[in-house]
This record gives sequence, structure tokens and C-alpha cells, in this order.
Amino acid sequence: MAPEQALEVELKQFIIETLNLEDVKPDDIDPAAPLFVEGLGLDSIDALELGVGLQKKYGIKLSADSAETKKHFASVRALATLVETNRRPA
Amino acid sequence: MSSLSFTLVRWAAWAPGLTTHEAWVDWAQKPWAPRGTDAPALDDVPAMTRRRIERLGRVAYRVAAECEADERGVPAVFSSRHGDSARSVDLLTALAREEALSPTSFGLSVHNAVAGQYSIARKDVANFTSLSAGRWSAEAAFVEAAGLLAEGSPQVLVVVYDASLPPLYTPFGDEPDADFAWAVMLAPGAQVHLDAVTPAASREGAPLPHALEVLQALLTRAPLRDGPWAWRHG
Repeated sequence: MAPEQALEVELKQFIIETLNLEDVKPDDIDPAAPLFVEGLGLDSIDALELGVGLQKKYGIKLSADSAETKKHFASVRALATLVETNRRPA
Repeated sequence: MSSLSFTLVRWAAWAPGLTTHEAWVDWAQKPWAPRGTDAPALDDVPAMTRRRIERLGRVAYRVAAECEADERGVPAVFSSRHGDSARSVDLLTALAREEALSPTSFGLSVHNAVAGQYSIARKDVANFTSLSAGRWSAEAAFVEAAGLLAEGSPQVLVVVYDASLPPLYTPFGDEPDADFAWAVMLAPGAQVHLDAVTPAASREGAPLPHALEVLQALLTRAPLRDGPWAWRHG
């Protein structure tokens, strides 16, 4: 598996665990599909929860309302790009 | 003496080890305080909604939905002495450790979150009230229900639920711990009476939390007097 794909799988698992998506498996999530409203159907509380989770797990701090943040949360793939460029060694 | 009167249209109850009407009828003859972490599955609730309804909420949801069945728009009074106190302790512990709080958990820690999740899951925009009134939280719910009936509601749903206190709060507990929820659909009538009386001492060392004593009295039609309240039947 290519490293970027491995990170996508890791992020899918992270989303499932962080948001308690009990019936969802990593394979159910299309890495290019929207995470919010359409696609996976997440809502604004989930966005906050993911923000806190990203900070805890990857040390990434996002500002709550910037257009930039919105772009990063568009899909698993966008999130992987964000983590790849910003992750700090644990 | 002032008195409130009701008809008990339907009832439902759920606790670990007590999952059927028959089990509760037997229980009422020889009651005990149910404890445990089991929760109903709530298979009828979509997974995306269910993921935010945790143990205590699931138990309350189950009895409310069983009582209300397909009805919508019935005003409901949810009552719990302690509410989701385990969640509050977790949040306070995280705060004390200067950890980030889970926004989801924070949002669900308010006392009316259980009623709110029920309303959202059932797409029911009826009047929902959530209250807590110490040992007499169940009686407070019936007072609220009497008000709603007096205002013209043909029926009112009362949901009473609680969980064992988290260990940190145990030294402050003054009732036996129990994990349970029960619900009654009330209508105007003269089957059950709740009287405000000259306060009597609460019985020390009772085997049940008072909210379950009330359920037992409702199921067996036995009189019950505790503190400023007395129940009678007929």
C-alpha cells in the first residue's frame, strides 16, 4: 500500500473511532467523497470533534472558522494532505 | 391538602435484568435495586442518531418509545435526579487535567440532552421538559404533568430515569444506587392521586431509590408516603 493510501485508511479509522460511527467500516468511506452533509453525513458537532481529535493525535491546530479549515475537511483525501504536510512527530 | 389526580394509560420500564412487563410485575411484589451497564439496542434508531445516545439515554429512550409507540406530539416530562453524572465527572476530570474537552460530550452533558436526542431521533417537536428535583424528582414530573393536562393536553408522557452514581460522588449519595428508567402515559382522571402533605420523614435504609418506590406503588396500587408527598389509588 502506498504511504498516502495508508494514511487515508488511518484517517478513516480515526474518524470512525472519534465520531463513534458504530456501523461504518473504513471501506465504506470514499476518500474523495464529502465528509459533511452529503457523503458521510457529518454535522457541525462532528467538525468540532474532529478538530479536537486532530490536535490530540497529530498536533494540528486549526482555526475554527477559516475557509482554509473548510477546505481541509472536505474529504478524507484533503484531510490526509493536511496531516501529511503538518504532522509533528509524536 | 392539595391533590393531583391522573389516569395511568400505559406504562413501561427497563433495567438490566428487568426487560419485560412480566418481570416488572413480579419485581413490584418483591422489589430490588437493579444495577448494571446493559442497555437496550435501539435497533429502530438510525445509526447516525444512535451513536450520540449513550447508556442512560438508551434506557430512557426505550421506555419512552414503548409508552408512546407511534404517537407524536404528546408533551413529555423527563425527570432524573442525577442525570448523566458519569459524563459530567469525565468532563470535569478532563478539565482538571487541562485536556481538551470532547465537544460532543460537552453538548450531551446538559440535563435535557436525553429528551433532546429522543425528540431528534423521533422527529417529534412536542413540548419537552427536563427536570431534576432531588429525592422527589418523580413527584415533580407528575406536578409538571398535572399542569400540562390542566392546560388541555389530552395526554402527557412522564419518563423517570437514573443511573448509579460515579464512584467519586458515592460519598454524597443518600439513596441506594440503581440503573433504570420507567415511563407512564398520563391522562386526566381519578385513578392515581398525588397529595401534598405535611412532610413526613423519609424512610432511612430503604432498599430502593425513591423513584423506584413510586413505580412499585403505581404497579401494586399500594399507598406510599415519603417527605411532602403521598400517593393513593382509586
